[in-house]
Amino acid sequence: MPTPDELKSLLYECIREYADQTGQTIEVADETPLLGPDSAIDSLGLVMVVTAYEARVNEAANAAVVFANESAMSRRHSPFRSVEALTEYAQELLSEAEAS
Amino acid sequence: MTDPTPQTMVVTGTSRGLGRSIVDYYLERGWTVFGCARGASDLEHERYTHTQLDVGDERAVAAMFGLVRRAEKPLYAVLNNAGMASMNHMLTTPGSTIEKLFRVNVLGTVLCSREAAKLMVPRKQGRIVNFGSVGVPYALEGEAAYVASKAAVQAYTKTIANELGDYGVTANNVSPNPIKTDLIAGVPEEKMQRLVNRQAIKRYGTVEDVLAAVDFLLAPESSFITGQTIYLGGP
Repeated sequence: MPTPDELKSLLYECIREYADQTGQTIEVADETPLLGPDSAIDSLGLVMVVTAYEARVNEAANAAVVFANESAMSRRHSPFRSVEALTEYAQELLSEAEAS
Repeated sequence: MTDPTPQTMVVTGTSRGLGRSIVDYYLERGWTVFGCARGASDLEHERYTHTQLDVGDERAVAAMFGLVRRAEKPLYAVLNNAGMASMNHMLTTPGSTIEKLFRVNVLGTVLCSREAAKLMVPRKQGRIVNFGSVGVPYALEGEAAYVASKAAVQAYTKTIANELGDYGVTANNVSPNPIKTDLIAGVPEEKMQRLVNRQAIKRYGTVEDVLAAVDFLLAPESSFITGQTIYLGGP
């Protein structure tokens, strides 16, 4: 399984690629918001970033996890809210997949 | 119209009937095909990979598309052919039958379209071909659950065509008229004939009719055709 740092750098790559594609400058850090009024990424952009990230994570871990699931959507704190939260969520999904 | 250039496709419901014929046809034309069905396949071909799964199983579907991704052959098309029918009056259709039908026809199509689109969107190219039915415009009596599931597929396809339009991915329905396959094996001939007689062209459909429509949608020139439903036989 990729390390937390590797998972984080995969997400950084996806956000930077999105920024390049949309001609934006996005400062990427652990606390970078991905959702809400402070995010530089619009809702459709988030779909693209999450989809690209899911593919990278699956590739790196040789897994087939799906990020969009009901439990994630209904959590009080969305796992898509920030870089750190999404990275932790990816790790959680990979651990679950490994255990099952 | 040129023949679609052989690339990679996923076809669901490939162990027999129409799905198997689709696979044979595209393998013959040089395509690489990833197929799936609940049962095993006796097809052995260097460009065919079979996965045994239930198309309504999200994890299994994601795993199959993971195989496609790892094969490093860019996915061009998905043909969501897997389907089941159940002829029954609405008063006597069990809830469990309705669940099974929607799981295969609707959920299977939705999951496979979604996983395929994840591979297509980054390349800004792809074709999603879903299978509806002429039963939808006919509001075919005795097939309420089946017709409802195919109406859902047709509505879903039109909607995802809107969502994917900016990413070079088209989504269309091919809605066949009755074809003599296992799907209608239990339906009385007289009922089928009545249905055929409602069509503009009054004959059973053939696998070749379906393939012609699919070929048309996969052709490079069809990149501007999306959100459409092709009713074979012309109701």
